[in-house]
This record gives sequence, C-alpha cells and structure tokens, in this order.
Amino acid sequence: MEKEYLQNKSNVITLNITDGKVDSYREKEETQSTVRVYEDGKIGVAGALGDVSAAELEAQAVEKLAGGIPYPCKLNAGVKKSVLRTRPVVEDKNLIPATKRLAKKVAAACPRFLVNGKTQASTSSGCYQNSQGTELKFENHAFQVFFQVKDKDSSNIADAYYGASVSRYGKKTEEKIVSDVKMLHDAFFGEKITLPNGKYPMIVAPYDLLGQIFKDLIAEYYVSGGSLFSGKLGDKIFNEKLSIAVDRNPKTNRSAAFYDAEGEIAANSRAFLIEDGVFKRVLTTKNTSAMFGLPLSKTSAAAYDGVPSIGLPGLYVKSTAPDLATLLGEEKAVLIAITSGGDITTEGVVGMPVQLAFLVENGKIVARVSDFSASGNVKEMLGEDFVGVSKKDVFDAPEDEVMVVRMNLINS
Amino acid sequence: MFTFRQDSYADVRIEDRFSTNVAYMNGMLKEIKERREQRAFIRVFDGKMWYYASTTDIADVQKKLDGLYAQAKSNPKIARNATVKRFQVNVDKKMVFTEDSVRNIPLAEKKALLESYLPILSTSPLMAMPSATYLDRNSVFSFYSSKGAAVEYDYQTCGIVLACTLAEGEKFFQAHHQIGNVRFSALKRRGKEIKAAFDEQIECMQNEVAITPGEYPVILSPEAAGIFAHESFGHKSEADFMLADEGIRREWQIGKTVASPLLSIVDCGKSLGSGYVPYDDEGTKARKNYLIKKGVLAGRLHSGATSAYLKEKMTGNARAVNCTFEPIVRMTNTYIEAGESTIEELFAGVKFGYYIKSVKHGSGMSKFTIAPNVAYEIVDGKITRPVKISVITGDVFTTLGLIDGLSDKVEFMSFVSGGCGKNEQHPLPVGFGGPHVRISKMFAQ
Repeated sequence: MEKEYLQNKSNVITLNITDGKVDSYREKEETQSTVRVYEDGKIGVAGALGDVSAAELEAQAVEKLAGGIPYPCKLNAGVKKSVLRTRPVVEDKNLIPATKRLAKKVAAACPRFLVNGKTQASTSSGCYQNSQGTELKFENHAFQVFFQVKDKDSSNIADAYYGASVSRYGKKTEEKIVSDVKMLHDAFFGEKITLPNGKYPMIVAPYDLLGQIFKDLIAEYYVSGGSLFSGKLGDKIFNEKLSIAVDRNPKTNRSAAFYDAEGEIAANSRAFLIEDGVFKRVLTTKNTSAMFGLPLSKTSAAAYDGVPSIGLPGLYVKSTAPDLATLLGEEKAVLIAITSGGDITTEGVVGMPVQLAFLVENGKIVARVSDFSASGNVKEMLGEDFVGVSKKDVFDAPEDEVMVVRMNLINS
Repeated sequence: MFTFRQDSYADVRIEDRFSTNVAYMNGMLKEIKERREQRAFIRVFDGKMWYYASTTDIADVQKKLDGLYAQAKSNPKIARNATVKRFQVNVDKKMVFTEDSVRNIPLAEKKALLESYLPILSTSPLMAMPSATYLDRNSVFSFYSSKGAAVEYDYQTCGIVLACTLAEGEKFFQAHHQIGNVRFSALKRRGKEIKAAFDEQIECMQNEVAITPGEYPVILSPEAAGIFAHESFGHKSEADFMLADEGIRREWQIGKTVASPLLSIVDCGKSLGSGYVPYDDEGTKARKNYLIKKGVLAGRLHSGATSAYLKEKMTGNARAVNCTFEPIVRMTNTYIEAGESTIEELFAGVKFGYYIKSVKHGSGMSKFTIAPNVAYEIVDGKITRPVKISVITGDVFTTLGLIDGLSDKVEFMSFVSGGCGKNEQHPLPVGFGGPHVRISKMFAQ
C-alpha cells in the first residue's frame, strides 16, 4: 500500500478599514491534515482540521478504500526539497499601526472618497511526504492591501477598487500606495469622455480575461469536445508573444506551496499551459492524465479530505515589455478597472459590461471613460489582437503584470 | 456556557456542519465523502474596535475569547453603545430538520439516488463527459452573547447537480441542471424534469442563433427575475454601503420612488430553502423585509452596526459565509412579488425581444449583468427560436423603472451549489424567485 501525507497551516490576520479608520481585527489560524492511501487501483482519503495523528488518519483512509474510487498510484519518488521563506512582509506587531497610518493617509489624500478596505497578512506553510521517499516543505508570507472606495455622493456600494499584493512593505511602499489611490481618486473625479465605438487596446488584469477560458483548459472539457480548444493540444493557437502558466513559484505566488497537491513540481514551479502561443498542456490530475492519455500538468489541488482535482492557485503571464509606455508607444489605451460580470459564448465571444474605465496615454491615466461594453472573440483577442503584457501596471505599488488586448468598445 | 465579561460586548457562534459529496465524472466514481466540521467564531467589541478569532477546536473557545478580551479596551459603559443596545436577546431552540436530517440517511442511499439519474446523461449521442454530483449539508448553529442570548437552530439543503457537454460538429454547449431542496425525499422521482431540461438544452445547442448586440424588450423567467432582484436591488439594499456617509443617508430616504410602481421586492429569511436564516449571525430573529413596495423604497437590510447608524429596526441580515468570518450585511431569500398579468398577456406585449429562461450567473453594482444559459427570441408575442446571448446588462435604476409587466405567480428557487459573493465571503447560500418579469429595454450582446 502506498501512502501520502500532507499538512497545510495558515495564519491570517485581517484588519478592516471603514471610512478611513481601522475598525476590526481578525485572526484565523488553521491546520489541515490529509492522508491518502492507494491499493489495487483505488484511493482512500482521510482528512481533519487541527492536529490529528497521521496514524489515526491512515486508519481512516484505509477504511475509505472501500468507497471504490478508482485512482492510479504514481507517486513522485525520492524528491527532497524545502523552500522556506520565513521572513514576514510585515511583522504582526506592526500591522495595526501600519494599517492605521496607511488608512489615514489614503483618506486624507482622497477627500471625495469614502475609504473602506482591508490589509491582510498571511503565513502559509506545509509539508508533503509519501511512501516513495519524497519530502517537501514550504513556508511563505504575503501581505495584501485592498481598498474599496466610493464617491461620498454616490449611491453605489463601491465605485472603484484598488489592490496591491506586495513582497516588501515599508515607508516607500506606503507612499506608492497612497499615491496610487490618489491617482485613482483624481482620475475618478476628473474629465469623463465618451470614446466612439471601435476597437481599442484595452488594459486588463490577466485573470479577468483568462478566467473566462479556464474551464476550456481542463482535461474533462478538452476531451469531451466541449472546449474552445478541443483537439488543438500542441498547436499554435494564440499570439507567439503569449505564455501563460499556473503559478506556484514562491517569488510571485506567496500563498501557495511550490509543489502541487500530488507532490509534483513543475519546472520553476510554473506549469505552462500556453508557451509562445502554443497550447502545451491541458490541466490534469494523475487520474485524468492516465484516463485520457494526456501529459501530467502538475497543477492539482485538493480539499483536505478530498480526492485530487484541478486548481488554479495563481496565474503567471510572461511579460513582453517593462511598462505600458514601452508596450504601447504613443498609442492610447483603455484601462478596464471594473467590469460587471461578463461571460463567453461557446464560440468564444466575450461580453464584458465595463463600469469603470480610464484612458491611458504613455502609461498614465489621462481621463475617465464613460461606461461601455467590451467585446471580442477570445481567439482573436489572444491571437492577432493580442498586444502584449506589461510588467508594470498603471499603478506603482502592485507587483502583478497587466495584459493589453484589442477589443471592441460599444457604448451602451 | 462561556464566561463573558461585562466591560465589553462579546458573542460566540458555533456551527456543527455535516456535509456529503458524491460525484461521478464520465461514468466513474470521482468522490464519495462525508465530512463533519465544528468551527466557532468569537467576537469582542469594546465600543471602538471589533476583535475576531475563529477556531476548529470548540474546547478552545474560552481561551480565544479571553485572548480577544486581552486585546480590547475595558469599557464599563459598553451596554449603552448604540450598536450593542440593538442586539436582541433571544433564547430559543428551533430545530426543524431533526426528523429527516441528511446525517441519518446512509451514504449508500445517497449514492444510489445519484446513480439512478446517471442514465439521463447518456440518452443522446450528443452528450459527452457527463458529470453528476450529490451534495448535502446539515448545520446546527448555536449562538451565545454576553447580553444573554442563547439560540440554537438547524439548517439543511440537499440536491443534485447534473452536467454534460453537448457537441455536434463545430457546435457545443455546456448543459446543466440542478435540483435543490431542504428534504432528501424531494430529490426522488425527478427524472422526467431532468430529462426535459437536458432535451431543451440539446434543442438550444442545435438551433440557437447569434443576436445583434443592442437594446431589446426582455422577459425574465422566475429564475432570471430572482437573480435580477438579487443583483439589481438586493445588493443596494445592504445598508453597510451607507455607513459613515451622510450624503447617501439623505439621498436614500425611505419613501423615495426608485422603480416602476408595479415592482415590490422582499427579503425574508423565514422561508425554508437555501436562504433560510431563522436567526442571523448576530442572533437577530428573521422577519419579512420589503425593500421596494410598489416602486417606493420601503426598507433595507441591516446588521447591528448599520441598524444603529441609520436608527432603523434590525432585520436579521447579518450573515457570515462560515465560522471563519465576521457577519456582514447579506441577503437571505430575495424575491419579486407577483403582479396581475398572465404569462400569455406578458408575452403578447413584446413585438420583438428576448426571453431569458435560465441563467449561468449574475453580478451587479451600479450596473447589473446576467449571463443567460437558455434564451429565446420573441416575435409578435411568441417564442420562436433559441438564441445565443453572452450577457444582458443594464443600469440598475434605469432598468427598475422600465419594468412594465409582472405575471401573477411567484416561483422560488433553492440551490445546493454556488451562492452569493461579497467582499471576501463566497459562496453564501441564498434563495431567490419571482414571477415572469417584462422589461421594456435592456442591452443584450
């Protein structure tokens, strides 16, 4: 009988900001443990919250084999690796004063905004061991700032959002965040223009767009013929400048383990689904990989008491330019700040009602754009209409890339 | 049960949650498990700051409570705090699922029920990659506060989610159907309904045509109308957006006309279903709350803090997605009340437009968006052919004023998967419903 043991611990402190003041402190500490056993082509899984002995869980997992869930046993053998990033971004004792100071400064810089939001400091750690001698261990820390602001005179729940996940936090980062939210404030209340209908380069957060096609990359959909990309594995389906990976790299994903839920490690902890426009991988678990004869993507996730499934702990999009000014030159672009939902048809037509957008020139916001609907076919948007990926956002503090694609603007 | 101090307010919420998940994918068993989790959420309020902690060890609650007390400041006048004064001191035990709790139904029986529906997903050669999932949840909640509240109640949902890919040549369609209820027995003998739902989606996949983006009259089914009520005005009725905002408080006065005079929207946690909340997570008893009554702003949804700030009655809408989060203002069961037209009369009023029969998802702020699953073209008051619409969207207030017809029967929806998202808390189970609703103009693309 082969076995796997996993444990994940998280410690999250969240401070809530209402009207520019910190009004609540929340702490959450949780440990989840899992044992999986494999015998005769079947899997048994047991999990528990809190500290429960591996022996106790193993006995439960063995009983669960009777459930009869087929699952191949292909354990990663003899890999020993630890990635321990033990230094918190913000020390616990500094969280409340740092958040109070940030909230006060943002509120002072943005007098027409009602400033609500959160800061969140998290520590994630865990280990994976199996009966084939693999032992993996990780620890990482993240700090996120999120503001949900609104015009004091508006009847909306929120009028704009600002978020930054940062790897370092000090006076300089604080100043960048204050400056970013002030830029959002000034642009929000600045000149508002209506652009004529037509096709424009649009700046979007990668997940807002790629999240629409995530299911099309899952093995079950791919094999069923129900994916936009069924039968195209190995083909060049997008622009050669586009590379997309499921990200578990500790430098860019500070919450996830560098290994997946089945103890597999992608090269550089990034499993590329699209590389240079070529469809390289479908999202698989060890089960769907074996069932459908597809390569293992090393991207599985699992509930603490569940059979492995597909997960998306983070998304990495390879940048093609250091900043928006370099990417776009003198061409104007539209920054999509808030969409109201959006969906995609089975032909790949994306519809995104846009509630807040800004006109960007030379990497800077120059005006607010009236509400519109953005649309396009995802195959074209990521193909001939794909402009590139900027390493830097319009805002200064966020460390995430932004994508630029050409989409149709329809005034609604 | 717990040792509370009197120089600050505190409450403890405990959930004992049992759940089941049985899943098949492509004819193979993918998951079969029962889970039992106990979690507690502890709050302490000193009049200025709230301090929260959660634990999965119920024996640890007092220690966590004492830890939060140590962080809070002593406030001997806490009982006079406007928010604390509002908290109800209910002492009650309301167990409605003891007799037919899903905890007592053998796992094999749940698996057998799910298996009985699997053949439906292979009734057409167009069906591929069938998936079928049985889900249930039975929770026993208890709530205790430093003011003396002691409430215990239960909650239950169960249901089956079926899906498959429909593919024919270049065409494909993600078909799905869900049956949800609070009683296991209600999930039996539903084969005809499920088969009909998939047959309709096959018809859609084979015959649906693209539309020209633009503004059209739209008729919403009860499911779509319920989502519309939830997304368009339900979220705007959550009073936490009015905190610390005098301007909005003046603008959003009760009695203001905000919609067509035909429209009344209600939120009520009393009815059994996925949005059943007899006591909210601050221990407040559920009641029927009109949000809009005949087009006029009639009320809003509250937590203790928003109720105190706006000096309005508590409504029973402080909810948390689970015992790791604090309660915030959320909806329960939200629905549009019936009108006076028959469905035929409603359709007769549309020369050319669209009927939104079922929905994939919806969202909303100043605009709201609904992504249809099954939609039809209406020509001269008759449903003609299925259409492919990615989203319908509209400005909330403009659209509320454009409602020009409601049918005379309300249907309620109850769900076993998905739910409402707000801030970091998703998915919160909610229920919704309504009659058929006609809107004279919405943007469809």
